[in-house]
Amino acid sequence: MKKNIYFGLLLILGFIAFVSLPSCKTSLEVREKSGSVLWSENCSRCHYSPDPEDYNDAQWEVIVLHMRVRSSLTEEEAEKITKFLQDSN
Amino acid sequence: MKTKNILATFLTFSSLSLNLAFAQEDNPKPFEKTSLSGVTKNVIIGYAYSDFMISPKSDVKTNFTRVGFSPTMIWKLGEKLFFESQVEFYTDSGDLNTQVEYAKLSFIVNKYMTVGMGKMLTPFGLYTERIEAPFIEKLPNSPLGFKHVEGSPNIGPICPEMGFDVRGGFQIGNGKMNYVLYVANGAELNEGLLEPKLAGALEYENFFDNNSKKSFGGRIGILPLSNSSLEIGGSWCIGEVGKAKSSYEHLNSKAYSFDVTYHKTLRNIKSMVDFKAQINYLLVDKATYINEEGDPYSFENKSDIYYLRLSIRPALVKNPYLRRTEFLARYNVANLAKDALWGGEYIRLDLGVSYWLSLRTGIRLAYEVGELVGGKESNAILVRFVTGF
Ligand code: HEC
Repeated sequence: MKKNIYFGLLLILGFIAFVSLPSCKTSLEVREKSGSVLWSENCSRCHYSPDPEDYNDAQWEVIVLHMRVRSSLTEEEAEKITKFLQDSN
Repeated sequence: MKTKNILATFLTFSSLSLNLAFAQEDNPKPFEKTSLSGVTKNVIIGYAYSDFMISPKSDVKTNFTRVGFSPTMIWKLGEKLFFESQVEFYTDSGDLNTQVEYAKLSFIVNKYMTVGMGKMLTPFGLYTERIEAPFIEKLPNSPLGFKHVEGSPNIGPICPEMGFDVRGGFQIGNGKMNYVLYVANGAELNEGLLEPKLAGALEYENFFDNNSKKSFGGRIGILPLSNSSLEIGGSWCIGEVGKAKSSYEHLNSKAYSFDVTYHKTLRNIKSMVDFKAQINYLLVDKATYINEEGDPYSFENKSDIYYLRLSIRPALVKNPYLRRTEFLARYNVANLAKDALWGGEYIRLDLGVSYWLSLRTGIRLAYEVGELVGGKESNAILVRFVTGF
């Protein structure tokens, strides 16, 4: 049991080290991505993303929150995507 | 005695509600406005599907096998709280089934962390939480072993569980990382008393725990590319699986999983490519069970299941029909504990075509061919008409 917990921890630390190597700050390129770019990159990772017109503003707010938690999107991504969907419906 | 108890309960409740009513009168605004206050917004989404099957080798060769729909209700309560729930209605072998697929209340602690509790789609690997929904799964069937089927062993958590989770995602450099850690009731060991053939198998539909030990698990996902096209994940889950006070009580299980997903529009072949793969390993401590003849036996309880799925949709070509057509291939393998009565190796290949009427409505067709125990081949043609809404 103990061995497994250590293995789990090691796995987490290994992953963190691996992704932290390039740099620890959000790069400029990523920070400047628009809502529409983030929407097309993220919202079709699991399924084809429905059109912005398919739901109204309040519905998009709830759906993107649901998706943010389900797919662990960052808060910034979720905010930009919600705004993009609300502006385009 | 019973009437006395009912009377006592009734009196307690009525005095409680009276107290509450008075408290409200005295203090009309008992709470300060906090981040939990705010406009409640809700939405009903979901999906519906119906299946048809042609199986030349069985007695009934053509069959409208299944129909199902799952309303998904989500409430956002102010800025920090939200509740998500899904009810499933479906027919299975002619019987109507209803179940709460998930019902979870979550609280957003900060931008890096959300906690939730309830019945949840287990965040182990990718399939259960992200791909299983029929409008997302592009083939009309699920990968071998990755969907719970009554009476067959679960190789790792592949169905919803009752528990608590902590999750979040953040940017690191050009890439991203996400994590989920969870505690759940965990799996239940089939001791084989009622079904000797399933002795030693695990089932994760343990909605009222069989022991006090909880299982601990999680998943770490990495998206190393800035366009989020690639995600690599590792999951684990450990826990005791035997029934409290039984001789199997301290039997331990360890499950691990690795998953990969890659999706990209490749302009040179005018197509969208989507690759998904997952492997689950399960190890359960060795124990002695009794077979159908009443003799004791034991076996190495080690199993794994995996699948690889590739799909291509020529989304950028001129032909409007071809643009809506997706071609799929999936290779499935299940290596179940060799010496268990439920053990053996199974391989299945699924070849499919999905025609998208809209971005969330499709007609799916697949030919599945598999090898069962003893080298017997099985094949079938499956059709599914499905929509998300
Ligand atoms: C990690 C996988 C994943 C990602 C990324 C994702 N979704 Fe989803 N999405 C799901 C799943 C799984 C469901 C099925 C609903 C459920 O089980 O609650 C779903 C359902 C939906 C639905 C309901 C549609 C229906 O037909 O039922 C909408 C709308 C939706 N997603 C929009 C989005 C948007 C917008 C984004 C981008 C912010 C997004 N999704 C990103 C997995 C994902």
